[in-house]
Amino acid sequence: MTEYRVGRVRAVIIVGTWRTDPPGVVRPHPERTALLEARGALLYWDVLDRTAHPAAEIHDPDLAADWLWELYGPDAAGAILNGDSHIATEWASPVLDAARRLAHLRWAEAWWPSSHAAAVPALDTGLLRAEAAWRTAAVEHLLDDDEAVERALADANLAATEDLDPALGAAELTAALQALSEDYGIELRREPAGLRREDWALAATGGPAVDFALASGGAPVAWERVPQGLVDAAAGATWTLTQREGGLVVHVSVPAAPEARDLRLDAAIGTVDVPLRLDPASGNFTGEAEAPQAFLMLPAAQRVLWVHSPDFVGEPAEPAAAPHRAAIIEYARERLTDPDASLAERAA
Amino acid sequence: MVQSIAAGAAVPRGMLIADAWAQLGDGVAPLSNPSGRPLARTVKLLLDPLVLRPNLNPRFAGGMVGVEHVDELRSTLLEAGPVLAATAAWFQLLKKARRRAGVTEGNPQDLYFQRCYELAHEHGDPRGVPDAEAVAAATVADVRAERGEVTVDRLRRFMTDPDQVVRLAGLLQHAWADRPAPQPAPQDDLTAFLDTCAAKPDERAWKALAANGTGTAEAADLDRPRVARDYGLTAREHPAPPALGERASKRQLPPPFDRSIMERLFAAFTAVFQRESMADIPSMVVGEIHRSAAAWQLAEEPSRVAMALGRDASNGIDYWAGGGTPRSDANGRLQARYAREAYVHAVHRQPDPESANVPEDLKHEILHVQEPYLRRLWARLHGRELRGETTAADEVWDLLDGVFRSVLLDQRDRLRRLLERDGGRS
Repeated sequence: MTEYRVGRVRAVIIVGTWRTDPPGVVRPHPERTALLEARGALLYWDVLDRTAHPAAEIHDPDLAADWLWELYGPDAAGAILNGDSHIATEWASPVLDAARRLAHLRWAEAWWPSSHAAAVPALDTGLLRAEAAWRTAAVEHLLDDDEAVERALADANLAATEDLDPALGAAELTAALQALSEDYGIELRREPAGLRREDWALAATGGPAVDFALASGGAPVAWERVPQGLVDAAAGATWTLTQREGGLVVHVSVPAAPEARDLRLDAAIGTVDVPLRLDPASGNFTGEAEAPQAFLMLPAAQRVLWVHSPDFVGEPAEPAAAPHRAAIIEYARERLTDPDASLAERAA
Repeated sequence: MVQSIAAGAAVPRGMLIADAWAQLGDGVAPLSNPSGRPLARTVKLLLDPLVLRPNLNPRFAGGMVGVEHVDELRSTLLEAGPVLAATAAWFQLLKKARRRAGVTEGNPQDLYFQRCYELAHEHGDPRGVPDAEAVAAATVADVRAERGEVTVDRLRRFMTDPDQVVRLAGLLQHAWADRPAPQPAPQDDLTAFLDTCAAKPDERAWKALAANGTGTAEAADLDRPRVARDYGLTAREHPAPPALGERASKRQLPPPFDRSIMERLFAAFTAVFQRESMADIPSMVVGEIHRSAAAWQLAEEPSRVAMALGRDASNGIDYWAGGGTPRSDANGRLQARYAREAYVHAVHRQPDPESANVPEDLKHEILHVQEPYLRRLWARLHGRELRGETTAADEVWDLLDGVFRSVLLDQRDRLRRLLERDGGRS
């Protein structure tokens, strides 16, 4: 049974969790949000609370009326549109199921916490997108984007589905995608999967040995400041300060996620910027830079290590302010063995 | 007699359609999605314009249908069952013919749905038609011939014929020399229409805007320095007469007012081309020359009104701030869409638009979204003019909002691609 409060903030009907001051909806943290953009409404599930039905922000009730009943059932949908303040529903339908799976696939593509440290393998993006295209077709009649299936098919890679374990339904998915490709006139790509299955035992052996560490420290990496799949979601970044012939040098090391791409990362500590590159030998993003002598005098509060991708320049968030991260990693581990999870999760 | 309608005495249209559709059974499966619902384009291209026709039957329009019309809607759909099943069977045949002919361009639903409906009316179910495969192959060839290569070739030949070039250049020069200076007019009517077009579109107000020449009057400023450039419609200080042009390519089209006559027509050919509603090539070229010299470089007053509406609806939209107090209901709705977009970016973990890794042109388009918006709106309106499509009051908001959505989705794709494996760097 799902129970939600329903109310309005200006012209928007909100179905979900409310706060009273100021009145409005409580959106889950982006890292735990499985989102679907429907016609006339945003729908979202909180991946950690496992409610079957999404919370909704309905900005065009007339458009949403067309499909709302498919997700909440006719009674609850009627109650939402008639201005009731509360709904309860146990509605189940294939459309609800497909909608939730699609939202979950998009979540996994953005936030899957792949990690050596926490034993969460990387997911095959090609497979995630292939399944997403299939699920998109099942809910295309309620999506905001009228070219959603075309867009999703253009992203799908048939090679990923063909490599899939037949026991997981490779043939079914491949056939479904081929039929969709013909129905929508989108030619499917077939590119050899770029995934290299790493040897778990050998990866992440830690940073290089350092002779004379004058100072060192570490910090978790804020997820929202790096792309998915680059940095080990559970491990932290570390820095060490050493004396070399020319002066002080800061060395930064960040454990890479399984099958990480070699994109640049930037680290900053005190006034020192340290560009990082993937070192395939150690499985870490590493880099070093000269530090001024004054570095030794910095109070600990100013020797905070920040790691971010040049693609993400927003305000740094305090990693400790995201207590849900451990829960997300735990959730991801459960998904790996959940027979109801997506193909990419089960195949990983 | 006074009818008292109880609360809830209306049923979601989507539910009625889904229910009746399910009763039509497997025969319409090729027109259904994997959930068994009619495809979005089945509704858009077949059920709405050809079966339910909400324009003629307003009781079948909108999100909810009154209970007193429920039976009628259902029986209308069920009566169309045989012709829809025949349409579906033709669609299967046409897809097969298309595969055999090696055609890959275009969306088969867009290209063939209405053709299949015509075939279903003309021939009935293809399973009873001895030469059905030949009919299907001919239809595929026909659709292919009227768009794409063949037409573009004819256009290129016509426009590069030396005799024609001289004549067309003269026409172009005269058309631009004779441009009347449009007189500005107050724009209160535009705001009034933007306040209602999403929720309660007013056909009379829409017609009045065109009848009063509001769109033309609103083009008066475009010739002032930098105005058209700030709208993203040209890269020049002032709009200048276009070239006739000798070649065109789908990629890297310049802003609308800087496109050659050839490029303007080419872009429309490769989008959706409909032979029945489009003129022959010589008259299209001459028409395009005159269009280029007209207000907003569009030929019809309703299109110009739509450009003025789009300009006002997209004024002041800001990626970060949410834009402040809306200037109209439509402006507020587009702002709200952009505000949702910033949230969607965060949920999808997309790169920050202000990052140094985002190419300057993309950054500019995100921070000055009115420019790509008006460019795309112009291209849509231009295509509609060439196909002779008219726009009713209740289609205006769909157009204004749909163009904005399409601009945002393209930006999203481009941002996302920055993070792909190669990312164009590393």
